[in-house]
Amino acid sequence: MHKELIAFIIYFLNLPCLNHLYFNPSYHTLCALILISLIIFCEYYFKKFPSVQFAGINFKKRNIFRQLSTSYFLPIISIQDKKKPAPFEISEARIYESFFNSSPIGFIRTDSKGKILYCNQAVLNILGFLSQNELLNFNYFKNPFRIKNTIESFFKNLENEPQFIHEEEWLKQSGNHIFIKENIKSIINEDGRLLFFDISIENITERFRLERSLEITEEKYKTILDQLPIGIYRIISTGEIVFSNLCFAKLLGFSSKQELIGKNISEFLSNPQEYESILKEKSDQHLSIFISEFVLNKQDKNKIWVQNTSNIFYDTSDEILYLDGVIEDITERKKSENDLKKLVTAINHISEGILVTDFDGNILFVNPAYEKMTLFQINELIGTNLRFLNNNPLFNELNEKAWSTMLSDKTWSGMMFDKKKNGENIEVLTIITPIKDNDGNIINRVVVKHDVTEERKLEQNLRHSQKLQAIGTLAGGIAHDFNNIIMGMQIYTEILLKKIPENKNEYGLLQKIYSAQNRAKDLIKQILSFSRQTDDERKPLQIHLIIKEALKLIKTTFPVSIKLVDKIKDCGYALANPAQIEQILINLCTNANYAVNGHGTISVELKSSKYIKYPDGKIIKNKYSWILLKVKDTGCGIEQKIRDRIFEPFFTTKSVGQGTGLGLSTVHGIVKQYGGEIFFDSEIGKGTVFYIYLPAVE
Amino acid sequence: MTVKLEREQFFIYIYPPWNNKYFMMEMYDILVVDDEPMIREGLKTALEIEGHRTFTASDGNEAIRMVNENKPQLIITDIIMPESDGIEVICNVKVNNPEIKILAISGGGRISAQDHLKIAQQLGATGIMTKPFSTEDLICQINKLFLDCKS
Repeated sequence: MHKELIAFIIYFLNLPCLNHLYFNPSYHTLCALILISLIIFCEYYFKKFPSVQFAGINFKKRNIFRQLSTSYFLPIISIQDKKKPAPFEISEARIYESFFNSSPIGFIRTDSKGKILYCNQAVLNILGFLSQNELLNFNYFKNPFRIKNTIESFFKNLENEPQFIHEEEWLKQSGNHIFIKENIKSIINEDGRLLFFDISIENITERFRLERSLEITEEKYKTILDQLPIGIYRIISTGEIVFSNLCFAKLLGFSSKQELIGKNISEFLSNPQEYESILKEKSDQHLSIFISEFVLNKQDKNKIWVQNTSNIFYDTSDEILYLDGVIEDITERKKSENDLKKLVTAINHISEGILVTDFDGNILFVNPAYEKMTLFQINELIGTNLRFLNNNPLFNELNEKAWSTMLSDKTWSGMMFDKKKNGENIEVLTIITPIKDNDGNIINRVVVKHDVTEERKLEQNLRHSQKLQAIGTLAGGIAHDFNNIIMGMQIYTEILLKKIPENKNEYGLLQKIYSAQNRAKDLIKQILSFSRQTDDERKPLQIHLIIKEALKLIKTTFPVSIKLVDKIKDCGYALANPAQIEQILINLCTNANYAVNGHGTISVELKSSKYIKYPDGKIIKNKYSWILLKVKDTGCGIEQKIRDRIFEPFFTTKSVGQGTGLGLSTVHGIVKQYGGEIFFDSEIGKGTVFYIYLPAVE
Repeated sequence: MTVKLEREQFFIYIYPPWNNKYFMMEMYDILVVDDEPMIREGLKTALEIEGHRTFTASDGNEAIRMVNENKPQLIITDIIMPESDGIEVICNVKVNNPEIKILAISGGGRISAQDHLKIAQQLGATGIMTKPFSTEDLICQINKLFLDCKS
C-alpha cells in the first residue's frame, strides 16, 4: 500500500529530484525520514483525492523495504501511466518453478520412450525416493510399482486419446500400497511426432481410504435397511419415490428397489385424494410426524393394509421438501382384527351366556346374552367371582367337584343354579373350559352357560300332558268295561221295575238303585269326554247363544250374593257340541262359585281374538282366528303347588264326596278335542282367570 | 214317551213322539250277540218280556251258526268280542242273509264307541246304539228300524 502511494505521490507532485534519487548508506536515515514524511503526506492526499487511482508502479526490486534496510535501494522507477500493470512478467519462471517444486502433486516429464527427464519433489515423496537420481534410472511406464498393466490400453489408443486419466493401486518400495491418480498427456509437435509425456501423479490413498470406508459404511446401512422387515422410503413433494429399501419395494410387489424408485406414490394409493388431503392438512398445521393407516394397491392389483409413519421436512418457506417414512404391512393384523371382530360379534349375539374368568374365577368378560339371562348389568358382573352368581344350596359339594375337574385341566360341565338380579333362580347348563398359555399353565377359563329353565318348563308341560293322556287312555279302557257292567245292572233293574208293582216298597228301593246307576253312567261319560272319546257329534255352533242360555241356567242356581257379570259378544261359529260347551261353562262357573265362597264377582266374557295370548305375555299367531271364553272370579286363587295338577283327572281340592275331580279335566279334554287352548292365571287371594281359546270356523 | 204295556195281547201299542197315532208292533225273532253274559241274558229277558222270540250267541262264530239255524229277523250284536267280532257277523250276514236287519251296539274301548258304530253302519248295520242304553231306548230303536223299512 505504502509503496504504491509513494510512487503515486512522486508522480503526482512531479518532483524530478526524487525521480532519480540515489541514496548512499550515509543518507539512509535521512531517506527513511523523508519516506515517512512522504507516507504521512500521501495518506493525507489519498484522503483528499480519492478518485485518483490510475497510478501504476513498476518495481525493479520485489521488496523495497528490505533493500532499504540493507542500504541498497534501487531508484523508484518512473511511474507509468498504465491502468493494468503486468505484475509477474519477469519472475514468472521462478514462480512456476516454485509452484512446481512445492506442489503436493507430482509432475513428471518423460521422453517418448518413457525415460524420466525430470520430476519434482512431490514425486519423490509419493514414491518414497530420497533423491531424484534414484528415480531417473527407471523407465516411467515400466516402473516396478505398477501392479496392474493398465497403461497398455493407453498406448494402443494414443492417436485418438492424447490424455489418459485413471486411478490405480501401486506398491511402494517400502511395501505399502498406495493409490495413485495418474494423468498422462502426450505432447506432440507440428509433424505429429511424439515428443514427451507430461504426467501428474497424485497420492489419493487417504481419500481412497476415506471413500472406501464411506462406501463400506454406506453398504452396511444399505444392507441393514434392506434387511429390515419394514419399508422405508423418501418421497419428494411431487410424490416421486426417491429412496426405498428392499422391503418397501417388495411390499409393493417389485423384485428390486430400482424398479420402484422414480415411480409416483399415487400409483399405489387406492385413494390418492385422501392422502393428499391428509398431507395438506398436516402441512397446514406444520406437523412433521404423523401416523396413518390406509390401503395400498400392489403392482399386481392386490390390496394390502399398511401402517405409515411419516416425517415431513419443510424448507425455509414452509413448503414440503420431502417426506421420510416407515411403512409396515398390517394386512395380517387387519385380517386377524377382522376375524376377531367377527368372533366378538358372534359372541355378543349368541343366545348362550359366555363368561371369561381368570384362574380364580373372577369375571373378566361377560356377553350380553348372560346379561339378559341374569338381568345383571355387565359392569356389575365384571370383577365379581363366579361364586357370587351361584345360588346352589349344594354349591360347596358341586364346587369341589367342579374345581377338582378344572384343576386337572379338564372341561367341567353340569347343572348349576344361578341367581338372577331379582332373586329368582335359573337352572343353567354350565361348561367350564380352561384356556392355557404356551407353557400349559391355565390363565383363563371360559364359562358357557345355557339357560334350561324354559326347557325344563316345557319338559314338565310335556310330562304333564303325557300324564293326562295316559290317564285318558286308561280311563277309556276302563270305561268300556264299566259300560258293560252298568248296562247289565240297568237292564235287570229295569226288568225288575216292570215286574214289581209301583205300590210295593221294593219298587222304591229299585228306583234308588236305578238312579245310582244313572249317576255312574254320567260319570263314565265324563271320563270318556275327558279322554276325548265322547261320541258327541260336533257341528258349527254360534257359541254366544249357547253361553247365554247356559248362563241363564247358572244364574238361577247361584246364590244372590254372587255377582255374575257377562260380556258376551257374537263371535261367529265354532265347531262344537252344545252340551259340551254347556259343560265347560258350568264346570268353570261351579269352580268359580266354590272359589269365591259365597261372596264375590264372577265375570264371563266371550270375544273374538286374532291370536292366543298367554298370561306370561307370549303371543301365538297363526292362520286361525279364535273365540276366547274368559271366566274370571275374585276368589281365593289357586295355590302354587297344585297349579300343575288341576287338570289331572280325579284331582280335587274338595273334601271326599263333594267333587269327582273330573270337572276341569273334562273341560281340558273337551278343549283339546276341539283343537283349542286352555290355561289360567291365578293370584292367591285375588282370584283366578281361566282362558279358553276355541278355533273359529267360517 | 209313554209306553203302554199289555202283556197278554199280540200287538203292542206305542205312542211315539214323532207320530200322534197308535200303531201296532209285531213280535220278531231276535238274535242277541254279546260276549258279556250279563248283557246277553239281560237283553234276552227284556226282549222276551216285550214278547219277542230271542236267541243268544256269545261270539261271532256262534252268531253265524245261529243265524243259519234260526233265521232271525233282527240281530243285535256287540262290536268288540273275542274270537270273531261283530264286524265279521255284519259282513257275513250282509252277504248270506241280506234281508236280516242288524242293530250294532258298542260300549267303546281304545277308540270311541261312535267310531266303532260308524264302521258298522258303513258295513251295512241297519241301526246303531251306544252302551249303556235303557231297555226303553232299545225297544224304540227296534220299532223304528222296522217302521222305517215298512215306510
